[in-house]
Amino acid sequence: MRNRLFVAAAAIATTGAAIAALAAPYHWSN
Amino acid sequence: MPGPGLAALILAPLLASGVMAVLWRGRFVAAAPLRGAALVPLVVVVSIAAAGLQRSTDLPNAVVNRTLAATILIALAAFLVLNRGQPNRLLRWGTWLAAGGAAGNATAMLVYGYMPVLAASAGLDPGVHPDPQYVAAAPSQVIALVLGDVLPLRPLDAVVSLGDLLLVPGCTILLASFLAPLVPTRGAHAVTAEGR
Repeated sequence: MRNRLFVAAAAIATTGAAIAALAAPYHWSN
Repeated sequence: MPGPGLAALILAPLLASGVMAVLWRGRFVAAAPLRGAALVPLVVVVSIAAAGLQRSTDLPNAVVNRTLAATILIALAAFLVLNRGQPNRLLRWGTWLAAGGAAGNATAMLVYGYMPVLAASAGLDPGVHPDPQYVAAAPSQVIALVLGDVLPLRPLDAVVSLGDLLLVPGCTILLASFLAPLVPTRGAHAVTAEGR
C-alpha cells in the first residue's frame, strides 16, 4: 500500500511538472 | 510559484485523473500499458535546464527557446511512435491530445523563438517581450493566431493557447491510465491488477 502511494505521488508530481514545462499560458502580471 | 492560469492548468488534470482512474479503472487496466513514460521526466529536466541557462548565461533567449522547443518536438515524436500500436481508443485519445497540445505550443515557440501572445489579448504592443519566453504578436501572424496565447481567461489572470487547452484532457487521461492499476480493490480484481 505504501509503495502504491509512493508511485502514485511520483506520477502526479511528474505530470504536474510536465504540464508546467509544456503549457505556456501568459499572465498579465508578468 | 506558478500564476493562477498555470496553476489551474496543472491542478485540473491532477484532480480529474484521480476521479477518472476510479470510475474507469477496469477500462484502463484492460488497456495495453503506456510506453515512453521515461520521456516525461526527461522533458521536465530539459525545461528546467533551459530556464537555468536563460538566468545564468548570455545565450540569446530565442536560441534557448528554440532548442527547448525542438527537443520537446523530438520527444513527442518518439512518444507517438512508441505508442502507435495502442489498441485502446481512450488511451489513443489521451496520447494524441497531450502530444498535440504540447506540439502546438512547441511549434509556436520554434517558429517565433518565443511563445507568441496576441498583443490585443495581453494589452501589449506587437513585438514587445514581456518575459524571456514571450513575444507580443500581431493578428496578421497566422501561426501565432492559431497556436499562440490568444484566449484571455480573466478570472485566471491568463491568456491561454489551444495547446494549453488540449494538454488538460490529454494529461488527465494519461495520468488516469497510470493511476488506475494503483487504485485499491477487493477480491479478484485486486489479484488481476497485481498480476499485470
